[in-house]
Amino acid sequence: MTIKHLAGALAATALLTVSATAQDWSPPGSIELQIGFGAGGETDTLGRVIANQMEEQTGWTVVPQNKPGGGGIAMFTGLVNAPADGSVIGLGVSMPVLINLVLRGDELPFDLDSFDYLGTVTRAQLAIVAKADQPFDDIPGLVDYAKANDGAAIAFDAKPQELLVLAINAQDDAGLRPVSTESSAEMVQFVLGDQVLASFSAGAHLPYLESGDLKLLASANADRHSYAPDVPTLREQGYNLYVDPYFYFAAPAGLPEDARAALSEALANAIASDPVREIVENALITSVNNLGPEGTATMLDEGLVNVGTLFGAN
Amino acid sequence: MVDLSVILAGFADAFTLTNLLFVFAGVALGQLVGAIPGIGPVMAMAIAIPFTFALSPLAAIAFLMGINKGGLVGGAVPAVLINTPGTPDAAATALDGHPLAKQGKPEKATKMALFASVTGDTVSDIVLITVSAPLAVLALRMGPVEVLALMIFAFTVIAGLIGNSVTKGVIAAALGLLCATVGLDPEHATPRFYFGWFELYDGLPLAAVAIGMLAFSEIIRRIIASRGIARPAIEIPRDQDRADRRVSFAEYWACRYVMARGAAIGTALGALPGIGSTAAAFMSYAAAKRADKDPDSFGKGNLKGIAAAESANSAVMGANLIPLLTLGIPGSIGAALIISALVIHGIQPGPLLFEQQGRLVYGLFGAMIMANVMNLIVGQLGLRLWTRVVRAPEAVVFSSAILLCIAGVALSTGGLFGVAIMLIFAALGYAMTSFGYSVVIFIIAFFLGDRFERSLSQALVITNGEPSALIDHPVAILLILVSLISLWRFGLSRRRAAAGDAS
Amino acid sequence: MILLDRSANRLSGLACAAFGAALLFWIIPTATEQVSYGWVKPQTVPTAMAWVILIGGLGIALRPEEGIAPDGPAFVRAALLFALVALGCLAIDWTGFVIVAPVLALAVMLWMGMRSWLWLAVGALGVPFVIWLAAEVLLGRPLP
Repeated sequence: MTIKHLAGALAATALLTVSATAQDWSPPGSIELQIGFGAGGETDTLGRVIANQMEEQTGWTVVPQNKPGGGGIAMFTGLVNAPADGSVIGLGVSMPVLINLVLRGDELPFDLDSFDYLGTVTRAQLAIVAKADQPFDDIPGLVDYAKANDGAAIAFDAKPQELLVLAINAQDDAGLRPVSTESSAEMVQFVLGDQVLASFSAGAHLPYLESGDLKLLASANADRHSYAPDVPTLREQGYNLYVDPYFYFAAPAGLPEDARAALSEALANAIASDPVREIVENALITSVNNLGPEGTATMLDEGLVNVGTLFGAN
Repeated sequence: MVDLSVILAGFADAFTLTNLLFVFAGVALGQLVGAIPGIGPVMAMAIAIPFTFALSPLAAIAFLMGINKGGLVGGAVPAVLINTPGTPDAAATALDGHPLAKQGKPEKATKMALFASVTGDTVSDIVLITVSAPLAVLALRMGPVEVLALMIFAFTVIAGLIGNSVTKGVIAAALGLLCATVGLDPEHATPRFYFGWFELYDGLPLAAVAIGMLAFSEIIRRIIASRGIARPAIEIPRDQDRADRRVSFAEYWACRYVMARGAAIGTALGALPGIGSTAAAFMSYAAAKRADKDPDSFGKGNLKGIAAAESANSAVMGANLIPLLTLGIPGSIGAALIISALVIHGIQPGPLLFEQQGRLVYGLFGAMIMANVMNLIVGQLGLRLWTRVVRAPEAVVFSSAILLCIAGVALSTGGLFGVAIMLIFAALGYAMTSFGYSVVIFIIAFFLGDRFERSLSQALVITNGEPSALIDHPVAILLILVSLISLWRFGLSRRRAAAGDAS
Repeated sequence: MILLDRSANRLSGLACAAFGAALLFWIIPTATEQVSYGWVKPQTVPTAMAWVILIGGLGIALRPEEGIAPDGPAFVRAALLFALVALGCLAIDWTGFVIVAPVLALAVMLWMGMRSWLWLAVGALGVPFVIWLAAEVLLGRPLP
């Protein structure tokens, strides 16, 4: 760990010194931006608009390509064998990658060190919501209600959310039954249609908070949500659990220093542009949050430890 | 309720020359990519979205809507002309469209497809514009238990297309469901049947399987069948009657009940997220065949077969917008892309959309009506062009079709891996057809399989596996009863057919 | 002749049954993971389908309902054609679509007996060019 951090610090100083030469670097041809998800989702939209902005700002050709499969696993599997010359970069989400590394890391052809990290776009805000007319306002209230009613169904759309539900069961014997769904939209549909008592949501709930149909029970992130600073996190409510899904950029490890600097700078500029900021604000109801190359690597290292704890909890 | 003045202002916004141009461009592009196997409107929309950022919200959505609606018509063209559907939901159109084209009446067949498509589309648009709010509330009540029951019902209706051997039909359906289980399982997200290929984590790519089974295997069959003779892909008699080139009003009117049923099935399945237009088209086709006085005429070039399939698959799109606009829930990938486009422009579909963006919503409705008219106009011109293209020698048409399938599937699945899957399923489709196993049943089961397994899991968790919990789901009980009746009638009709053969 | 037709049908049933058995005893156990809770396990639906395929296949093998006449020579030709296209795809992987497409189109057209120079040029040069134009220029996507 210390060696890696040292390397990170060295790279950071190197970044300061090479940023002058970064402007001299240009890609060998067109840059392929691989998106680890299919067409028509938040990640896809983000990737396409960022590619578009990079093209406008740098004059390079940036071609977005969808490489769906396992929440980014298929894309990173291909990326690890791509040439490390700046011609291929990938956009993924941290959570599915970390979970697969924890659960079946020996089957995957890559680990966190297989890539050079270029930056993050933002962190998704994950909420736990219920219908506004339910007789509880927080997670302990939900747990009591479930205990009094022979358990309750809770909708989720990704593995870490299911683990959170099972961890709450393990802690309080609440009898919550996780219901697997495909998207935030489907989860909100189930809550509104009284199919489930509560659900997770990464954005689809926001118009319903505004209309007063739903209420926020907790933030499932490490800290509170920007739009609801009064609602405490799961951790503050007595459950030492959180998930922090980041959208991040990576390239195959061994990128030349000037290419890495130029790419992360170009990405940072594109991410800071108005169109990208607007989309992050509109689609994810949060602001852009670029941790930079080193920050991204640290976030992933710490995330791997946290996910390990999450699985250990069961 | 939205003010009349807002509605009128919205429509006025829509009917401008700029928007008309965008709708026109969208429809033309949609019809073109819809006709190319593998590419399709969804991919064209995904590529177009970043470029719509610079447009006004209404022009952007109008353009995307045009692509989507154009694709509905475009997919039917190669299905009818060379029996290779450009989009999977046009596979049902090929069942009667292609026989009619082979009889030398390709223009009649494609025109019927166009008219039925625009009719079904318009009906579902009218439903959307007038009663979307109450329908959305109904759709909310349809949880996993009801969706599961509805899928069982859909299967029993589609059983009518099972072919000569019931056992082989059941095996084909089981194979389709089995192939749908490749990838992460819906309840626990553990990988299945991926054999080291991480591309398979999200399942077999739909486009590759559908194009392989339906289009590519048919292309191979046609190439094999035509050795050494240089003739056109479709032969049209030189002195053809005018009546054989067009659809008369009487012929159109004769299909009115079929199209009404198709539009109703399409609208109902479209309002419920996740079942999709391919199942709607086949369900409508099977229902039309069953209800007809002369079911044996289906599959031999019956206009009603074309009308049933096209009216239903096109009605799905308009109805997809019901949960999309009112609840923010996409019913298909195309609808998910429209949501992305709205969100890019800072518009959040959902309960407050009509209140906050009423003018835009009615502008969108106006654009949809324009797109329907454009579909008719562009379609009339385009069909003439396409029927001319397939008069080229067979060798040129089919070699080009092979290149298009390879390029299209490679583009839509992100590489040659998808092309390999396409070839494998083309070979499987070829073998299945040769031995009398229905490819159509396989594809329907494959398309519904993922949703079926997920709904089954959801329904069991929600009811906690207790049959007594079904009392809270009267709609599901009703659907299962109707399914049983449908199965019983299916058995009855087969027994009668068997008795008829024996005598 | 009917006997022969039925035996082809029996063969297809046996193939299905063998596949179902392979699924049950080999493929499903090795290619799925075990989970300890929940209603629909990763194996639930595949196992049910494997049984349907196994029993259905045996049914057809024992009582073939209809006579089918598979065309042997056509199968051989189809296999050759599939091999040709698969070879083309491998070649695309090595070189590129733009290089392989004209050759593949030409091979297919010659196979089908097309001898007119004009049409051969249209199919081998015109069509790949239009696809390239549509993909790389109109849609801005790179071809493999």
